[in-house]
Amino acid sequence: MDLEDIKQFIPQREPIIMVDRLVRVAAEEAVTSLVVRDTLCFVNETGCLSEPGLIEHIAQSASAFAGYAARAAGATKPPVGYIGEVKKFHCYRLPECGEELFTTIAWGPEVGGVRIVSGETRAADEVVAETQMKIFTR
Amino acid sequence: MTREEIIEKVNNLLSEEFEVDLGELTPDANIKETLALDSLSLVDLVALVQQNYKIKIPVADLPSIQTFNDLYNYIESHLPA
Amino acid sequence: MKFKDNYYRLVGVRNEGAHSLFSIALLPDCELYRGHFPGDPVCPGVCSIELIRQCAECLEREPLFIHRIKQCRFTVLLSPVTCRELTVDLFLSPFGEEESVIVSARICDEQNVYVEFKSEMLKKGRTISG
Repeated sequence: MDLEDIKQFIPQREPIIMVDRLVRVAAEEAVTSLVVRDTLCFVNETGCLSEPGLIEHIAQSASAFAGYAARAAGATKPPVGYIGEVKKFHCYRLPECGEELFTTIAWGPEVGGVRIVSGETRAADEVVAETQMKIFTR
Repeated sequence: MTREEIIEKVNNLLSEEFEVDLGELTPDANIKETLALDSLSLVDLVALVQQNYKIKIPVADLPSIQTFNDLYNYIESHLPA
Repeated sequence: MKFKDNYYRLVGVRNEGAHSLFSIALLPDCELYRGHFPGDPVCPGVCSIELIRQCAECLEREPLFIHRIKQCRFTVLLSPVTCRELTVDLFLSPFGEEESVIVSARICDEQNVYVEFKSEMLKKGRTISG
């Protein structure tokens, strides 16, 4: 499966796509990337990706991972997932335009359609944000 | 790990994660009510057991875990050797 | 993307005891709904977080940086089509030596509570004290 076209894996479309690529996929973990640029929805007036932008990027990274897994299992459309809860979010700094973010998503347990996901976003190998999240599919 | 050690550790974990007083975690109390679990937080219970005891609770087993005593028994009987 | 007067409009503010109640109108024509999701406009949860931050900034009269979110629950799905006017119920309490503020908030209307939010936000503009 060609990882290049992210639209295969996530239901979101412009102007709110917040993941560029699915870089690597393993059984319970995946890595995505995003270059911060001012055309993104959540880049604020100071030219940085905002905290909500980082959370949406991490959520869409998890959604891309779920979309990849669904396609690998034969689905034709990526599942629509929603953030049910954000927990223990910690933002260290806001990345600026031009920086490339790499986000690692780790799969947690799933019960009743609610899956725990943890995400950590790095820029130049330095953690800029991390969080735990619950994604549920409608 | 003795049963007493399991009970003490589980209660401390639950009390911290769900912000509930230790005193409320009596063996015959209902877990969902005591911890005010809903569809969003039920998975936290499963995650807590998985992270701390390396025990994966299949969804099919959940209905059999109603009281804290059921939970202690489940952990005790599924602890990896 | 501009947020105020593009994603939401501030209708009014009133105080109720220690709480501040912002009445907010969601703007269904905001461009982000084209992609979230095509033909099915749903408010992104993170936009509710941005909305809460901007209401808190109104009260503090300075920029706030979302340093930590202890918990943010999206209890009911929000859509600009079905829900035009909302209340953001805010309660702020100072934390640390005036460096940051604890923001507790709820977004609701007469029928539902949509969001429950608890966060520590840093004052002094966007710098991070670590």
